[in-house]
Amino acid sequence: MRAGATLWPVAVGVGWRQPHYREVMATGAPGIDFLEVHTENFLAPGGATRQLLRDAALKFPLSLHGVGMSLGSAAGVDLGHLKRVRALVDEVRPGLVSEHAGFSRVQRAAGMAHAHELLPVPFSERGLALLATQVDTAQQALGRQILIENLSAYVAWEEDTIREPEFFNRLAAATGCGLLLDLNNLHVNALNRGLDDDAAVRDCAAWLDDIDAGAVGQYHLAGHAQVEGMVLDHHGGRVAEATWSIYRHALGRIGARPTLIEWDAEPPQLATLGEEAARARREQGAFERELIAPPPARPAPRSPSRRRQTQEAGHAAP
Amino acid sequence: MRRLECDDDARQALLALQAGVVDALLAPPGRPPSQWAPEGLKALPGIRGALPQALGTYRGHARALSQRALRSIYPRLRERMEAGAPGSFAAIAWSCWRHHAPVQGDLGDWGQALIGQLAEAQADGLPPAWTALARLEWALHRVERIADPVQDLGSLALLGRLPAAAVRLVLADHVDLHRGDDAAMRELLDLPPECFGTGPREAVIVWRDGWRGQWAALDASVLGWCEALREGADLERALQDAGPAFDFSAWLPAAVARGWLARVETL
Repeated sequence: MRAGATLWPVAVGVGWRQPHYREVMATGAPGIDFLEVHTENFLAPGGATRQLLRDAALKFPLSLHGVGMSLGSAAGVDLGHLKRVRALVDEVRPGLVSEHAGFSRVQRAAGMAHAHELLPVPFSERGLALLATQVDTAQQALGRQILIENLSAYVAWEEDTIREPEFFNRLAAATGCGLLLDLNNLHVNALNRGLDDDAAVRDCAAWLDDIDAGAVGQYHLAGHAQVEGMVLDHHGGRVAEATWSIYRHALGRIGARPTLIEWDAEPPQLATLGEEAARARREQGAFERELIAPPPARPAPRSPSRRRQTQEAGHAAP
Repeated sequence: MRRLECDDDARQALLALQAGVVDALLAPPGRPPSQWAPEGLKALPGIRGALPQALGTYRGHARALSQRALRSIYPRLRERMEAGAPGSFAAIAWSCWRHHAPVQGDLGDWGQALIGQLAEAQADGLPPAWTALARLEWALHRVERIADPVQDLGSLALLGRLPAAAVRLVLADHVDLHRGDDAAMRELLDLPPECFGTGPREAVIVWRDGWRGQWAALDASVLGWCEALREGADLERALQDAGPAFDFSAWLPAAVARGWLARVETL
């Protein structure tokens, strides 16, 4: 029984996608410490995929990575969605639960819409307050800490006045959430801000230097693609060498955390994902043990009465 | 920990900005989405085509997502549409996304609106059978996602203990009946490989068989029987409604094995 298993800081996992469902269940996932799935692909209350995840939870440590909670939405959090996620979390007891620092659900003139895009909230006081309120709501609804991932985004806001690492540090401090650092997202954003590869790596290293190491709970690594006039965060290839160097910096500065190889677009053979996982393990192995030790202790979570106050202040939509 | 609160004014302002971004992503074809973008939104400075390219990238992703989502729900419809006009399924999927955008984070819940869109397009010459087929494929999709059904097989013992007028058979909630009343639906009655009853095909039954959605044709007697059960008729009345051609002894084991029968109840 692996459900509920805690992930070791040096654990390396892969994004488990449909082409590999059968293979992994039949032959296992050699060299892979945990499987991460997109939460929304398993939210249907019954059916084959739900059962698949129940079965997988008996064999593998799992991580649930959400793409649909829309925690940065000014239209509020969909409590029905939260309830379904809670049911799934209770059922498969994942080691990690994560979501994104973005919005997707909006109230348009024509009614509610969910864009199924990870769109950025402003890095401003009001953007931070909105996100923090709803991360709090989500954590209370799920009864556990969640990790919040930094986005890759092609757009930004004129009102972005808080530096991104500070924004995430303050979010973690205010809510007790953890941070999922997607190093490819950092890299893609730096490149799309017009930096060349060397400058982008330096920029990402500086970003990581400013992050509260104690709040970091996971890393994501993925591939990106240079297309006409921009860089696409396409999750459709191997991790770029420059992204690996950002990972090395994170290991040295922050320490080891469960690390995920994401490959969503046209996933390759499982063995190729295994090679990428092995590379992450080699990068970890180059560090002294004390440098990749578990994260430092964090401040105690907020008291229940204060949590209730925050919930009452929230504007969660039905 | 310092508590952060988002006041109503800030929330309302952000609400308008965020809606503006999604309006831009769902903008009508032929007009650059950046025209719809809210003030204060900008592309990252290294993106050569600035805001139009940045928003176009999101829009391209949404377009691909619309096709991917509907392709998995409506494979037979897609095949028919693409056979006649390549690219037409992708076009209607994107149109459906723009006009009937998803409202939930689970994309598996989205796509039923395509049926209404196809029905509306019949006025422009779209075959009515496509709408009927979409309705059947949505039913197959829906049934694969419902909570796993439970049968009370122990209740079958009531059949031997009580008179027919004192019990009723309850069809499982996931069983869906589609009558072949109109020409469009009649065109589809030959699609299911199997038919229950020996008469001409009159309807299609959709149900959850194990993990999969399944369909089969029904003749008039089996359809009459199923409809009587659906209406809550007792066993005696349901058998009368089904008529003499209905073979209860053949139906019952099939209904148990296929999960059509939820339970037997006393009245």
